[in-house]
Amino acid sequence: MDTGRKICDVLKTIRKQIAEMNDIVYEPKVCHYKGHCHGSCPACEAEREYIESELSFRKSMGMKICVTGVALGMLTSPYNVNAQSHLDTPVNSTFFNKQKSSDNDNIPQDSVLIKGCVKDMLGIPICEAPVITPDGRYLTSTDIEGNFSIYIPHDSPLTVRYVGYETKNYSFGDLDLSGTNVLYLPKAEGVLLGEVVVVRKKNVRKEIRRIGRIRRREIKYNKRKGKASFPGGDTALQMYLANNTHLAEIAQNESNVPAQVRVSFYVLGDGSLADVKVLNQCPLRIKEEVLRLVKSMPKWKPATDSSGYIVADLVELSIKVKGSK
Amino acid sequence: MKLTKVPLIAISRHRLAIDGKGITTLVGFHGCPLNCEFCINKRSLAMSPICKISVSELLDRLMVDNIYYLATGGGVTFGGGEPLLFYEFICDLMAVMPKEWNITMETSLNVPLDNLKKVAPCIHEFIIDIKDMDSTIYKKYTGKNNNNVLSNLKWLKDNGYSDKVIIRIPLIPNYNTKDNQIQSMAKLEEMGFNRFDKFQYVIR
Repeated sequence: MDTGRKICDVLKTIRKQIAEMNDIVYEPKVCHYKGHCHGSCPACEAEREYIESELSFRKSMGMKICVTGVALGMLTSPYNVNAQSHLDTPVNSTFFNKQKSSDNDNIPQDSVLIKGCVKDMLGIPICEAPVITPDGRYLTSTDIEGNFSIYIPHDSPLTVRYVGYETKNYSFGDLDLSGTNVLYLPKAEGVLLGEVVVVRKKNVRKEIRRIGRIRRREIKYNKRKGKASFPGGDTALQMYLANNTHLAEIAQNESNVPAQVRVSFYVLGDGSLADVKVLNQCPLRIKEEVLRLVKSMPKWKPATDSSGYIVADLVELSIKVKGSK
Repeated sequence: MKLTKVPLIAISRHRLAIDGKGITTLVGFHGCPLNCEFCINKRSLAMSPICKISVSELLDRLMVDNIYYLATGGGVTFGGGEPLLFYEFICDLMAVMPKEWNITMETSLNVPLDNLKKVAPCIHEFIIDIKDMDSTIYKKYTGKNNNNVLSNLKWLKDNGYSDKVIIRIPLIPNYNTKDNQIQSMAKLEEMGFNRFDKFQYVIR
């Protein structure tokens, strides 16, 4: 998405939030313009003027209006993300940590560096997405390539969000501390490119049920249609796992090693893998090796839905740990 | 003498957390005391500005995005060029603009101390591009000495503004090295600053 369209989407979402907070009936127009977007156009300006006139009207009637801070969490990225991305150190997060430390020296001694990349369903990087701890003390944002790095306290979960996408929470155990975490953000229901679906308050429950039905149907279709697959099929996958694993050697020096390790991940539209997660309890070195093994796989063949469109697909694998005790 | 109209090179709206919190409008002033080889806004040094604008005209241009500033905690960023050359105009503007706006000042700080003293109380965030703390490197790159920069930084620290300051320390090809960058940062830390934005110039 070009920068102009992204700006347009953000402004539209802000207008929508202001309208909702002040009970203003507002339905953004569907944009069909195919050329380069500058972020705002006469149609967008007219919508802004409409919101402003509605706010003025409410104010003149002695009603309380609510604008300040309604979209405060949307734009948390610090300065000049693109310029900072040339550095090999996690500048964004240290920038904020330093700021906090000047107040009360609160940086935990056991903070951990988490590196990663945020992508959408098709594997396209999402830039300027806030990456934040739940208490809001540690935050950074992705650069133009979707990459981020952040110091967080040990055991702290991490939240990733972006306008128009579902917010995702990652527990500390889900994060790979030594490698790169590719994080997948699915599109939020009801938000499409260039338009915002507005639901009347009284119809919200009905709408939630409707979306639930559609989702169940989609999941069913996705299962029936082309699922994501390893290039060369299951046999090639088993061969890859057998030829590239060091699990057996590592397992010899570890105790409480399970017979097999279950791992889940999303296959994105470009065949890359995201949200790679070890599902069962196992020693740290085993977990690291499984993550390395999965992340170094060649690109998968992506899944398609009933209409033939490429979709992200959740895959679960069981990897045998030979020689487990 | 008060300036009724000031020269501008640009008013850039709807900037998403690029040079200040939330949604900001960048007001780029014309004119700069420095003459850097890799100036990011060459237009600021051109013979004539893009436009001249009065306080009320600029306020009208800024007010259109008032709801976005308020909703996101954003506001106005003064850049350029060197905005502190027009400190009187900025003071006049800040006297009439909504107090909730977040005001950011992007400056080289190479201006007389009086300019800084006047505006400093109204600024929420300073982004200061110090180029390099080494005076030889600074002079070679900008054509000017950095005595003003150093004394103004000291004034900011002594008057309790250091928490509002982010210092940009660029890695400038052919002029300084990563070691110079680290040394600059160490000197600034010694002075009492702790928020830095280290980055590299990419020459195209």
